[in-house]
Amino acid sequence: MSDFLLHKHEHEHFFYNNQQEASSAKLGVWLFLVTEILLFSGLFVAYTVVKMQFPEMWKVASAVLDWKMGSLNTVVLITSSWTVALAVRAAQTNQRGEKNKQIVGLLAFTVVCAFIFLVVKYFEYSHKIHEGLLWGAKYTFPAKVAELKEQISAAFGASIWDQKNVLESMASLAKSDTQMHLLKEWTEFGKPELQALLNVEKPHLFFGIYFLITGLHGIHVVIGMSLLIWILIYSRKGYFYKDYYTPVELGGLYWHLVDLIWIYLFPLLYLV
Amino acid sequence: MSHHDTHHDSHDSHDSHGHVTALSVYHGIFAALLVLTFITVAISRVDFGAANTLIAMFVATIKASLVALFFMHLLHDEKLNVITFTFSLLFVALFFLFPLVDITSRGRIDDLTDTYSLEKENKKIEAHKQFLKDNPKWDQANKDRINHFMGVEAGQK
Amino acid sequence: MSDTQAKDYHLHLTDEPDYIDAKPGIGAWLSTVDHKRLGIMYLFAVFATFGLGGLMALLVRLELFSPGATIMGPDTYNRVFTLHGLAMVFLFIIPGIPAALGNFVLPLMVGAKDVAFPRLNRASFHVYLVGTAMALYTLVSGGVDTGWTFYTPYSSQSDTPVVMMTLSAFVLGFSSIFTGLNFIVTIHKMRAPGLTWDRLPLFIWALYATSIIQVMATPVLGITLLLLAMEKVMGVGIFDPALGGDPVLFQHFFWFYSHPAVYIMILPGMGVMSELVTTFSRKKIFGYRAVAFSSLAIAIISFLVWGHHMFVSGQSAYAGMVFSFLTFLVAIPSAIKVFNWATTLYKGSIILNTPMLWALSFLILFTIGGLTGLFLGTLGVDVHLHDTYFVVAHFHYVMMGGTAMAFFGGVHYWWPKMFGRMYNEKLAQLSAILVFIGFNVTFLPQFVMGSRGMPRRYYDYTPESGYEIFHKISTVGSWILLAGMLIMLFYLLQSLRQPKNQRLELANPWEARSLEWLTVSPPIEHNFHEIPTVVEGPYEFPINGQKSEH
Repeated sequence: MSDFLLHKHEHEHFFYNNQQEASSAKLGVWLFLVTEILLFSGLFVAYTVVKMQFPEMWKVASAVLDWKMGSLNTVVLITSSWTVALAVRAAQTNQRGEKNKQIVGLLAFTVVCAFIFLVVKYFEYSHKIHEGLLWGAKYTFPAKVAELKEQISAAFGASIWDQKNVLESMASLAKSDTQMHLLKEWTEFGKPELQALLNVEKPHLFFGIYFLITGLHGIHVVIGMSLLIWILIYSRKGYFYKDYYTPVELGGLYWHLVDLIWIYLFPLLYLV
Repeated sequence: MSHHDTHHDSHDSHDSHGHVTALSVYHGIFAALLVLTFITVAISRVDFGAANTLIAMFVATIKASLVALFFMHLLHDEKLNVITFTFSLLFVALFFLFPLVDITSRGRIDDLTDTYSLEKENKKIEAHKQFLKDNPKWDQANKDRINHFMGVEAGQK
Repeated sequence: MSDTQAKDYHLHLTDEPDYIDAKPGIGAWLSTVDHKRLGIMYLFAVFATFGLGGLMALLVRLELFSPGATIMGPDTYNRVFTLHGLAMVFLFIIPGIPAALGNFVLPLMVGAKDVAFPRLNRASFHVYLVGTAMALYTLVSGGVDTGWTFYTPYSSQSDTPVVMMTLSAFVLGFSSIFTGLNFIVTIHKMRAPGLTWDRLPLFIWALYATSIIQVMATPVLGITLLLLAMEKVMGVGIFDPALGGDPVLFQHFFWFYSHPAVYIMILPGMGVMSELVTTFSRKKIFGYRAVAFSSLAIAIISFLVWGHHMFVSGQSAYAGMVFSFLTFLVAIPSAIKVFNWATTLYKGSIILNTPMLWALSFLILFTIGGLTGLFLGTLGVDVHLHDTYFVVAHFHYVMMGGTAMAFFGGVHYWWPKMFGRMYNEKLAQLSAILVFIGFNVTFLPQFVMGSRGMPRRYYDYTPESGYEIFHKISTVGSWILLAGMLIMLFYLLQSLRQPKNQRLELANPWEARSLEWLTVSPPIEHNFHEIPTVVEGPYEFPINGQKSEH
């Protein structure tokens, strides 16, 4: 007699047995994943079409994205996929509830990874917002650059722009708080990748697609997190074991899809 | 109300616990995915020109296949789930294909079907002018019909 | 307990109440997961939305009766025809047969106690109600005037409640996806013992093919509408030429869903046709496999042809050629079905009752609609016919002359099973005939005036154009249609006020052979007392009018 928590599962009355129920649920989730794939494919098509129409702009704009943050997020998601797969396996081999803690731990780790992903995204987004790199009419980067340049001219004198290395000159001259602040700003705004944006047409199209696709993906990360937390709560109570681990498995499938989409998003947005 | 287990043959019979993948496989796939991520980034530093995107997609597809086959258990799953997933990719491909055909062939119908030639067009115009000369009644009837409608348009509010 | 073979299944009454009487009360109905109750509620809902869309149609036709303003101004007209399209497409015809008839019949037909995911089914209905409410809200907040197709850039710029309407369609899309997903899993996993794929009634094959389209195509509508809403709200710019976008891209996105969507509309109707034609000619379907696989073929090919809505949109002529060629392909499986139904009728023992009248209407009208589609699929001809009344007449022949006729046929066929009552046969036949006549009087002239240049969605035309007589005939036709539909409404409601017949009497009034007829009418909450084992196909009618074994 075990002292672990274990709830025996009873299948719904319109199914003949647990296995038919589990198999049906799985097919149902795969069909749902298919709808998600088709949903995202619209954005991928929009990406492709706009990229083909503005190849130069695309190259310049995508160089603005921080591939290091993107890579970090990729590693985080892949790790979370690994841990959720291990959680499913733990539930699959949970005989008497002895693996309850392991399942909970692995699921918790997955959720933490998801949270880290969102935090990294938050930093990425706030940089973009700060730099005015947004969609459509909200693409204010050129205006912000112009304004910053004026402020720098005012604070450092217009001749600063004639210097060979503007940043170095600014760094050596900066003394007041305003000057230090402007130096910090120009370090960001003055980067060659960003400045290159001023010379291409319609870069707001890239950022529009960037925010749409990563935004939609981010929403799915939140949904996936919520699902996993819900499953985590029930696994603490011993609901999942070798004869019934369907929710863990299906929640895992959803999470893997979120990872799959990012596996394609990452190179498409950050690397090519 | 009565309920009894009838034997049914409507789906594959796996053992009810599903296939349990070895831990080492999971760890191995995880390692492989990390390596492939590294490769993805490294390869992107080299410029293959037009092939950049294709190569990146190729590597991404390898990673995606590993996730799908092993983490999502498709390798050992019922065929139906595999078919469902693969089928959807076909439709995604369709969704890509036709708009791309459209975008890449706009304004190029003549290149693509080799139907246009300036001499042929000029010949057609000359032949039509000759036809009008030879058939003044047809020409006039046509002009009358057009004027009738045009006259009506002129009177519109 | 031993398995009971379908042939030997004996109906018997127990004390158990039917699904209507079990668990009474509004709360029980609104929170039900019983597929039969959900189906009935959907049935009432789609009748109501058909009424709404129909009212809009009558208003449109009234306005077009004479040149100049008849009953409304041009802005109102745009809103009225937009609502007609939206209500008919999203609120009536897409849910129509699958949600109302399919939900009720499918589990019974496959010998299951419910669908695979009854709570998802309930969610589908509730989501449908929410989406409908949102659509109705746009009605009271001024109405949308973009046409149901929401083409950019007008839709991005119109100051009518486009965002609310697109979001309502987005929500309704989920309802459609949930239904499709449920059906696919139910058909794969929950068939009764012995019910192999080649013994499935063709209605199930049709619903299966429909569900594949629902699952694959509707998400693309979702992203399209989302992108349109983002375009309006955020000004993203992928569809707006002023910002560097491409309005034709919107059309690609929109029609990637909306063309397969028209097959979501017609396939279930074709499924109903197979049931009606076989039952009322007492003959098994000619070419079962051909009809079954043609449903799947239609589902797949339907994804290849969407550009035929865009021949004059600015897409490349080359893409147009490709789409035109592929469009001819999709006619083939439909034609196979029409031939097979006609051949089934040949030397059958025809019973000309109401469901059969609807089926025959379908056969004739769908054929006309389908053939006229070929004209439209021909690129060179479509350049002249695009956006004329020819197109309007074509799609009304297939959607209304096809799907709506099949829907009404199915309603009359399964009415006794659903409610345990029969309707007045004489009035029903009168209604069917009036609708058939009214339909043709309404839409046949539209082919003529369309080919002579009358554009669609136009508020007005001149007296000198020569279209007036066609418009007048068409409007009179709409009144005949109205008469037919009002009579139907009357006798259907009247039948519901009768007491329920003895549940065994109406268990199988048509002596059909599919599983739904092997239970009492109306069925008990869990459908069957014992799940039957199937030993033969669904169209094995006894020969020479011998009474069937049960």
